[in-house]
Amino acid sequence: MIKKFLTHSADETVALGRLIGARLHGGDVIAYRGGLGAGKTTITHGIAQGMGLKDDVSSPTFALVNEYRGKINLYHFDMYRINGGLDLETTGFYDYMDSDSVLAIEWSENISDELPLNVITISISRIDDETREIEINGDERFDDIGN
Amino acid sequence: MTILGIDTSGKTASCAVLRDGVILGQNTVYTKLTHSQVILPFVKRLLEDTNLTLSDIDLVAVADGPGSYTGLRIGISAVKGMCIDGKKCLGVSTLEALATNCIGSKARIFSLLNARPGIVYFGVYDSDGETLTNITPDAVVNAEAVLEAANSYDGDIVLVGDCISNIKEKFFAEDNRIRLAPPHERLQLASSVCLTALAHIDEAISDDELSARYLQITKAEKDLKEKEEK
Repeated sequence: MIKKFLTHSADETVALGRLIGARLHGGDVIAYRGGLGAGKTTITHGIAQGMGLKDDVSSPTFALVNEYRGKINLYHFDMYRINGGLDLETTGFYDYMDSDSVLAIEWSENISDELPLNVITISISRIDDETREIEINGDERFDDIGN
Repeated sequence: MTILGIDTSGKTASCAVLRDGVILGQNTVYTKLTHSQVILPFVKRLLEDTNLTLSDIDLVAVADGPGSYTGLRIGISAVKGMCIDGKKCLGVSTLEALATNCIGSKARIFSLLNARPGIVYFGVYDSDGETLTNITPDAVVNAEAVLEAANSYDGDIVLVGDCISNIKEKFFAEDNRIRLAPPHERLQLASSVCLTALAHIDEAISDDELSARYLQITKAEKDLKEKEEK
C-alpha cells in the first residue's frame, strides 16, 4: 500500500511525521529515500514526537546513530558512509534490531540488501524550497492518515 | 585453579568465579545494550562477595564469539584490561558455552543465537552426560539449516539460546523429540564459560592474542570479492 502526501513547510512535514510515529510499534524499521536536504531528519523529528519521545532529534550524520529512549526506543541511523554488510556490522546495527525499538534509517539505499522484508519505506522528494512530496510504502496502519 | 568467566555476547551480561570445581559466585543480568556500564562493576562486586582480588585469579575466560558485535568487543576489552599483569586468558566459543548449560542432557544440543533476521549462529554438540563433543563447526546459517540438521539426526535434540522459542514454533511445533532448554539454562551464563575454559585449559593464551570470533568471515569474504570484481 503506497500513500502520497504533499507538505508545504517543515512544520507540515513534522506534523505528518507525528501521525506516522503514533502508528509505529516495536520492531518496525523505517527506510528513508531522498537526497541531501530532503527533510529526513525533519520528519524523524515528528516521528519521535508521535512516539511520545521528549528529546530533540538532530542529524545522525556524524554519530552514525542517535538513540532516543522511551517506552519504545527510536534509533536514528545515517548510512551515508556505510558500504555493505560488513561495514554495517561494525556499527552494531544488528544489536539495535529489537522488538521494543523502532529503527529509522537515512540513506537506506546503501544497505538495501540488509533490510528486513517488512520494512516501511518513506521516500521524500523536494518539489521546491518549502514543498515536499512524501510517499509512505507500508502496511494498512498508514491508510487513514490524511483522510 | 581459580577461573573468572565473563560473557557479554548477548543481551545477558554475566560473570562467575570457578575455584577447584566449585562455582563461588555468579552475577547475571539481562541488560540489552549497556554491557559497557555493567560488566566491570559486576566483576568488582563478584570479587568482593567472594573475598577475592584480581590477583587471586589464575585465568580469565571470556565468550569470544559469535555474538553481538559491540557486546563481544566490550567483554574482550575488559578481559585484556584485567590481564594487564600478564595473567593468562582464554576465549571460548559462545555456542559451546551455551551447550555447556545443558551438558548433563545426554542428547544432541543445538546452540542457537539470533544473528539477524532469518539468520542464526548455529553450533552442534553432543553430550554424553558429562562432556561435550563438537559435531559441526560453529557457523552462520539460514534458519532453515537448523531444520535440515534436525532431520538428518534420529535422537533427542535440546535447543539452547536466545531464539529457540521461535525456532521450535517455526520448525518443530509438533516434534516431541526437540526440547527447549528451561529458562534458567537458556541464555549465556558465565559459569558455563568457566567450565568450557576448564575443558580447553591447554589453549590458554596471553591477552594480546585474544580477539573476537565473529563468524562473519564468509560474509566478509563475499563483500571483499564483490569489491574486487567492481
